[in-house]
Amino acid sequence: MKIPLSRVIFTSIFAILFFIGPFMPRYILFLINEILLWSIFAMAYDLSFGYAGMLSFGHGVFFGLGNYGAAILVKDLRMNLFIAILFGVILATIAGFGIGYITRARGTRGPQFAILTFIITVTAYLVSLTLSWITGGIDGISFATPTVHLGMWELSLSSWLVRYYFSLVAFIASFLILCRVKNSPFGIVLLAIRENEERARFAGYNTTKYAILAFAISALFAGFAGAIYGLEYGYANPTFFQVNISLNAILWSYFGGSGTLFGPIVGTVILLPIVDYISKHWAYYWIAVGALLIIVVIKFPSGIMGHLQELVHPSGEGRKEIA
Amino acid sequence: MIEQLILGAINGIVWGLIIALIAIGFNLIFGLLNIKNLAHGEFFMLGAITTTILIRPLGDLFFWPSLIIVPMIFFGLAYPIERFLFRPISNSLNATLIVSIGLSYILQQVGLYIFGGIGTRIEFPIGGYINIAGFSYPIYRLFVAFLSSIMLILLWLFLYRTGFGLLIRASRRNKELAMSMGIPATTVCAFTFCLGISFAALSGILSMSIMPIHYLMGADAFIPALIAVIVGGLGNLGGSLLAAIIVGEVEGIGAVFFSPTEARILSLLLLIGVLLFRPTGLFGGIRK
Repeated sequence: MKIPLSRVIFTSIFAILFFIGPFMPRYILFLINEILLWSIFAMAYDLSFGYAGMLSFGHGVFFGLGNYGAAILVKDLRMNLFIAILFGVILATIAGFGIGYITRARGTRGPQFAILTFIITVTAYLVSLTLSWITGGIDGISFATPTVHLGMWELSLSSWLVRYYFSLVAFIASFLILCRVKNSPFGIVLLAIRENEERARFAGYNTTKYAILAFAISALFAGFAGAIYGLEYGYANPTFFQVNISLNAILWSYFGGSGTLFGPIVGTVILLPIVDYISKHWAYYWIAVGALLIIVVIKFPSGIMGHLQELVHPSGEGRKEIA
Repeated sequence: MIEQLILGAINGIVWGLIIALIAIGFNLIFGLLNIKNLAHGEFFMLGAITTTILIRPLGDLFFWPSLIIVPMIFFGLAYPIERFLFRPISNSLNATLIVSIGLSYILQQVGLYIFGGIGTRIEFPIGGYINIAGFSYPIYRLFVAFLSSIMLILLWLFLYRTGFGLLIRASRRNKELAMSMGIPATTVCAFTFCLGISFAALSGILSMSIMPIHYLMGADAFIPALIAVIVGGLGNLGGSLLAAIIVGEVEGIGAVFFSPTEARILSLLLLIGVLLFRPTGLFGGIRK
């Protein structure tokens, strides 16, 4: 039996990440933690953008809903951590279904879909600022980070090491599930929709249903990332409802190679520390993000993984998966 | 109550005409170049900010020349954007969307850099109030409605009654055919892009004393304009004018009963209703 190279690489990276945790300084732990959480988000984003070809500016809504759903349950109702995460994820998934249904049900697709998600997100941000009795207005809400009860252990999420392992487990789970989704026949149909929706429909697939489902799954994992982010850092904030978040995800997945399994992760790993560094030294760092986005889209459209694949399959087997 | 409704309706028309300037510029660009320029709202913001900065040292009277000068500045600034950002990727809709959103963030930060984060408001350039239905209504707002209508009529005359307008309409209908007839379609496209941008800047100048001037004000006007574009049908110029007035009325009359944010949600609900029952917009999609 031949084991794919990528599987070996990823298993060893996970193993290394598991063992180096206790030996890392706090800043590195923080950085890896951020990368892990935002990678979940980027992978989720790329299911809708890279696979189904639905350019969405609305994933901030899902991240924010997961964030607030979990935070409110933990803060006001003192619920169990896992119930809180589940609640946030359910909220985000329902929103994903709703927005997917409204925007796709009557055959809206392509760029009109993108504009609709843009309108919905900007309005959702306004609404979240107005509902300050829930969302805490522009300051958001903050609370004491909860404790994880695992059998006999009680681990407080206020420790960086616990946060790190918590994110790592969440990341590996999401990664495996999303890989499974993307490599399944369902994922192949999504690729077909991206390439040519008419043809996929002629082949007998109900493309609307597939697209809405893909969007909802994408929303589910975006909400998952948001819920964990909120619980680990102990705050929820309306800024997560903004378009910025989707913009980051577009940049990361485009840079790494959108429509590939590992592209979004590679993009996050490389760009998140760079942008983090720029943001510390330059108040107008969004100019850098916007400029990077424009340069990547115009000059470097297939991304790192896309170029690697062209090296591996120079015959032009398209963007077939490496895994 | 009746008076307030009338007031809301008049405000709605003024607001509707302001966003119609943005929506029609957006639609003009979309119909000809197939670019959905999400940075359009930032030119609205930059138009207002540039004028405010020019007025500060030069005095209030400078408002009047700036109505002509500032849109011309943006007409010139828009050209390199079209030439170097949008033209290389004009065949991919998703790429132009992403580039335009990246551009909108850059322009927003430029606005923040030159203007600072604190919003201001300026006095009405035309003082004085007129008595409408028992209310004293600022004359300046009526002037805004008047000037916007004039600009829209001029645009219509330009598109449908001049030779250059004919070139624009021909390239809009079929670019390859127009080029084979010897029409310089690339230049026509660039011109139209700049024209659309300068309309957005003009709309920003007109709404300076109506809404707070702030580096994030672009979205406040651009979102209703986008709603109008989709409600009226993408690419349909007349449709987006009518839809802009409908959206303006929804927000104007809605503001009598609700808060501005709730009025915005109302127009979003209008959009969702239109999408579910008439997915191509109230007045049909692109009409070439």
